[in-house]
Amino acid sequence: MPMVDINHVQKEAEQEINSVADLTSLGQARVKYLGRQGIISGLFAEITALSKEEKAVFGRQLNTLKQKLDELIRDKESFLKQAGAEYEMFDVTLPGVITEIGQLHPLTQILREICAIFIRMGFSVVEGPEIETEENNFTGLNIPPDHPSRDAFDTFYIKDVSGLRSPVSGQNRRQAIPLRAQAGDRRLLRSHTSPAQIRVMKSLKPPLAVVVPGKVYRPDATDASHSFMFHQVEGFLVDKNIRFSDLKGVLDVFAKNLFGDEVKTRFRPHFFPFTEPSAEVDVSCIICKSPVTSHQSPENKEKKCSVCGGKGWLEILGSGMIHPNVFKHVGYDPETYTGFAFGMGVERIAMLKYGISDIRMFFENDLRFLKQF
Amino acid sequence: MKTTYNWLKDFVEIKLSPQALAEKLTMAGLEVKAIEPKDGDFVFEVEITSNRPDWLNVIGIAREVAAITGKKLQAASPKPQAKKSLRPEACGLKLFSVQIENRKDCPLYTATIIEGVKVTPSPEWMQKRLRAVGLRPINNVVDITNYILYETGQPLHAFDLDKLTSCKPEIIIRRAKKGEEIVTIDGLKKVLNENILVIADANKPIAVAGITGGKNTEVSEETKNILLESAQFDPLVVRRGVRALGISSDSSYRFERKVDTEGVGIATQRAVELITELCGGEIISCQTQGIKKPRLKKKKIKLSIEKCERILGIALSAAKIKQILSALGFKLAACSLQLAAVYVPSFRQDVSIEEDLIEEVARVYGYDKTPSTLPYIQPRIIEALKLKHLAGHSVDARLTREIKNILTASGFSEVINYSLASRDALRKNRAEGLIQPVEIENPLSKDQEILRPDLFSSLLASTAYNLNRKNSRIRIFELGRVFGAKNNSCPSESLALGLAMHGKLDLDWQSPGRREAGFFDLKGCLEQMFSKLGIDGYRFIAEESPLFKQGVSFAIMLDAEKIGLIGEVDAAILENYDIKQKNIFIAQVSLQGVARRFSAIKAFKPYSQYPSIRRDISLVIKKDTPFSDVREIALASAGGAVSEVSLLEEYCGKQVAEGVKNLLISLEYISSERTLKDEEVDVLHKQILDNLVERLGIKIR
Repeated sequence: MPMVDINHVQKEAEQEINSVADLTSLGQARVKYLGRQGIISGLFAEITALSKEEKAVFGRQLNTLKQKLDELIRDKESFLKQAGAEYEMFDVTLPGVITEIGQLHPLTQILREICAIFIRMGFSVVEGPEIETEENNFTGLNIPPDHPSRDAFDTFYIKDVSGLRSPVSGQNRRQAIPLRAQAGDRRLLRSHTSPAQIRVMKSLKPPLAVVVPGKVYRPDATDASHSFMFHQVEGFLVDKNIRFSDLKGVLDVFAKNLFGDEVKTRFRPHFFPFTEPSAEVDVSCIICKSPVTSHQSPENKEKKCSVCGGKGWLEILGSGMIHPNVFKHVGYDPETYTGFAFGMGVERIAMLKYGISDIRMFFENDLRFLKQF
Repeated sequence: MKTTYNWLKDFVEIKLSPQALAEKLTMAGLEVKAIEPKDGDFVFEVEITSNRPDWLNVIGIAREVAAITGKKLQAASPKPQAKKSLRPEACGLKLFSVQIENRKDCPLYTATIIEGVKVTPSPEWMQKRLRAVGLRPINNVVDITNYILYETGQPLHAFDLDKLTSCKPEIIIRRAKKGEEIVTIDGLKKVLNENILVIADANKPIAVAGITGGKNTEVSEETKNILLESAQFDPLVVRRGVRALGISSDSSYRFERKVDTEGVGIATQRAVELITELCGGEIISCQTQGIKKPRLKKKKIKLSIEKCERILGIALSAAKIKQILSALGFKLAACSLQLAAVYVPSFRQDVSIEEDLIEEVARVYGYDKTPSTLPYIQPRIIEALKLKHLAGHSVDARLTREIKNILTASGFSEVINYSLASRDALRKNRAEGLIQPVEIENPLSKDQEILRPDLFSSLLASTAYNLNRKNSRIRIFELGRVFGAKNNSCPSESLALGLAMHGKLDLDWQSPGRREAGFFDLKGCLEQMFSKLGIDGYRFIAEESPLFKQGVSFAIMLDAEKIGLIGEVDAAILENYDIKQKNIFIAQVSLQGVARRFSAIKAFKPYSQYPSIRRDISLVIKKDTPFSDVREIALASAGGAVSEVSLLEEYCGKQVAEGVKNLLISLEYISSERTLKDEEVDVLHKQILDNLVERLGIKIR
């Protein structure tokens, strides 16, 4: 009799376990057959009523059955789990726990990127002081006192507290700019990074390949595109036989590295007191990528790109072959050495690259702004 | 500078469309900023660089157009004066003299008297062109002077002759007397001084030389006789006048950049021609004072074709170079195949060296046609720190780079604030009188009065700005220059690092109830930074500062040198910045100080291959016993076996007696030679406990 029971139980159990579709039902089946009050336990209880031989056989059979069912349930369980039929809900959409990191200011990021391009070409990076002498900022760079070319470099002067105050009142800003009689030795906030060029050349003989990142200051009224403090990167290369074509090549490589290989460069004659010949460098507009024609017909006005104004070009650099007077000032023989220099506004480049329309955002330091870069 | 397409066509044949012409001009260095169609013509707005005053007129630009398009400049050939030049004595009527007080101020002055003019509106064609370049037509005489200014670049001025003091007809070019006054043609009353050059009659100034005319001698509808001035004034004197008076005009703009000596006479002739044609009248006399006309010496520059190639990187033929320079008005005489003598025309004051000529050649030939090459750059590392004229002005770039990387990894975002600040920043920081700031002589606004002496006001301003915008979690740093007035005179600058911290710790929804960042979080950032930089030997010692809350104000010492400050910002200071929040922590560290101990060279230190053993100690300690004492004893007592002392918890709650606190610390024992046995550690640990009890009076729990 008990034998029949075992086979019967096994069949029934196998059927039930196989048909189970979820972990809960499987759990119930396990309790039903293998639980302390379960069917198998019930059958074990019947053993006492059997003969010694029967006990042994029946016990073995029951144990085998128990093992089989246990195995079956385990297999089924792992099958159900694997099939994902059902398991405890693990909500992966809960947010991961983040250790917040900070970020470098976007200007620092751009500065690093710019310098890295030149470092790859063999340039060194140096920094110079922000308080400069008139000699380094102007005279040494072939910008004589009271020359109209100084107009482009309106400058903050440091108040001389040693007793020699400027006689003019501060009512009119232009009045406070020193006249020739006073000019020469006054301290100022550098209006470009070029004075570092003078400092390096006064310290070392060529060959020199140097870039100088840093802050510069000009008393400009602040608006969306002007700031009285901004950043520049100055660079120069001096050696025997450096040519204008080298300037073109180096700056072209630079522009392509910074803005992408498809970018074109354009060199336009310009005037800087410290270079001759001089060139302004434009890159093809990285926003509209419009066909490169400088002056589109006025009918197209509505479709003008807001960044390049429809011109297709963006001015990013000033450059040129270093003026012989600059070489003479630092004691180089202009017949032996030639070289080129260039300078760029970092904010402008960052604004172009990141699509920022207001220069003031760089100095407001709103964390919602800073965290984006 | 504005000009028009048709006006240019008066002087050169142009086949290009206005757009194509603009493109060509731009690529030759005359950047056309805008083209505007107007009255059947096109107005070009051209940006003229400060070295090219000869482009500040239509003929100058036409010459450029001719050169770049290979056409000939049709010079406005002024006809010889309509009437033969009369000597003043001959007419007897208006005897006058021209006197120049100082030839340096006014190298050349010509005065032409024309009698019997009829002042009417100028003809429509002239008005149209004047309007196109942005001028308001006045009357035929004034319009003619303006027209010629635009056409030739030579400013002219017409005086009403009858309004000059007639008892003694004379023109004096002299410096103004201090306090002398003039009412300008715009009706502005200006007080003059000895730096300003004026044109005067016997009694009074009638014009500010080169800048503006006077109202009292202005040409009006009643004017019958005029005195026409064409002159050259010292650029510097005009420039000073412009600054002093705050008046700038088309005339002064050109005088400041020096007008062409040759143009003075040409403009007069052209004006006389137009005046007699359009206003009637008769030339009575013409007087010239100053430079004797033929005295002009032509500048000669030697141009080597080899040098041209050496600078540009392209070989241009002698013929090409000659063609370009000739078209621009230079005269060439070949010295040899490789060398040319180039004579510079008078209007090209900007050209004085060979490189100037090379630029002209390259410009007209086309920068775009010169090749691009990559130079050989000599392998060489230039370090500012080792340079005579830069050392002391910079720190190792690797240090600043490392610091920025460490701090961003620690959760701090970099800010950049203006180096200029208002004097009020000192008051806000209660630093008035304590700090002598470097002052700016010509600030544009109150926010630019001084150079920041430290980073505190910058950091607090950035903190306030963000808190006001509900950016409530502040972790910012700035690495920038700060300025001081050394010895009361010589301004100095140095690099400083500033940090500010406020607000809850990182968001973690699995353990909510985040605490606020406190002093030790900021201190920890600095410690981490120092550790990563390989700097030890720093300490924090109590030092009061007007910026910080009493008791939470410390100096950061590196060996015996003070390199910074750290503390909790005082409530009164926060109020000055309108910060409502509390618990704002700030630190500043001098980078020069850190740099002295920083080395970019990193060296591997072997660590033990054997396992370590940890033992915790729970102890009760007097509140005024510094933790550093516990740490030092633990490190010193076990003969180097303790590698690390960690503070796990500090507790001074209700269950702890008055004046003491509980500390839970953890010690790590390790040997570099073998695996330590438990029994060995037991002995060492007991030693440490004994020492702590004995020397600090602690209780072990």
